Amino acid sequence: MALVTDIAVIPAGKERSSVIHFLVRLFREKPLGAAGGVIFILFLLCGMFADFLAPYGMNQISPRNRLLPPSWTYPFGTDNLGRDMLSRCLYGAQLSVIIGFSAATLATVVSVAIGILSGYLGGKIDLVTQRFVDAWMSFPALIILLVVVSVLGPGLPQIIITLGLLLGIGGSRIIRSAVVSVRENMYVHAAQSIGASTRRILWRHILPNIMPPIIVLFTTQVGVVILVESSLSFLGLGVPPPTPTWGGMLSGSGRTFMFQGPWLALAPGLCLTVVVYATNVFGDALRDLLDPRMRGSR
Amino acid sequence: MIPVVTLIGLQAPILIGGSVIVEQIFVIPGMGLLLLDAINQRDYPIITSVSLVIGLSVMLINLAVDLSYGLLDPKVRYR
Repeated sequence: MALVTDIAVIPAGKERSSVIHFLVRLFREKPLGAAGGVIFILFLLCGMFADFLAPYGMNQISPRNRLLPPSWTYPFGTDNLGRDMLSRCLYGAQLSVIIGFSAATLATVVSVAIGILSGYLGGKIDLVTQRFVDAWMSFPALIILLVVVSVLGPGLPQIIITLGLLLGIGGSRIIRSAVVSVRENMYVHAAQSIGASTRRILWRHILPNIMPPIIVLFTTQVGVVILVESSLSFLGLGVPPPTPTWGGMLSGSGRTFMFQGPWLALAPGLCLTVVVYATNVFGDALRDLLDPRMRGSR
Repeated sequence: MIPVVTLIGLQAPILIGGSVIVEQIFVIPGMGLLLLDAINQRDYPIITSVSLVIGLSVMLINLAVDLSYGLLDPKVRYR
């Protein structure tokens, strides 16, 4: 009896040291990916603490200081209404963090739900679901998004829900393939043969073992969501104007005053490029480290 | 050759979706700009028809890709 409890107890320190070990491996084996991760976390912090970090208000205008080039007072310059670009970029990061993380979470939840059911149950359900996913994926993502936003009207919740469902259904393919390969393992057959319920098998045996692809899917989704959201704002269908978004800053004052003040387009454009590049590199590095099957493939 | 053709089928929706942005930037009066204008004016019949045409064209491209496998590789047969 005592022996059983001895085995069952997992030392609390063990978990933490494996996380640190993983981080050390990330920095040693994938320096570029680690740099991406650092930028990703910086972006997250910038978004979370935009209210404290921003030197000026997001819509605080000062007509005397309009279209100033980057200087120490205004590190990213000012726009055509004298608003500080650095503050606007920080508030844009806040919005990107909100949309990026909530839509990516929704997308991951949807793709795990669809992928795990269709992959584990198989048979007719799998066939029908996968044909539906095929049809969904063959349609241009941006067009679906434009049409849905045109019906529901622009706004934060609509964008999050649409983006989440849109990417979630496409991403379910990755989860499904992971589930199909995990399903054939001996421990799943063992669980089935001792009569474990489907829910228990899915929750206790399949889900923990497809965690690596889920984490990788989430990180890549964040980058995709940020990019799609900014193209939506660029087209004027994102979050309505007074709120600064990177895409909206690019298309609004950035495009009109591109020749008087190139920093208007450069600042949000660079933010967007650096963050999305960092997310992609970070996601790739995570995939290489977490998913041994994909190791070495680029 | 087959992977290249498959890639064409996968890229087609992305290309067509991207046309909306490119047409907005360079003011090309194409289908993307038509869709965008229709959305801004809440012109639902045009939105529906443009998305129908785009969906149909993507479907046809994918069908052509699938059929071209048979032409490129005689080992592939459709019954």
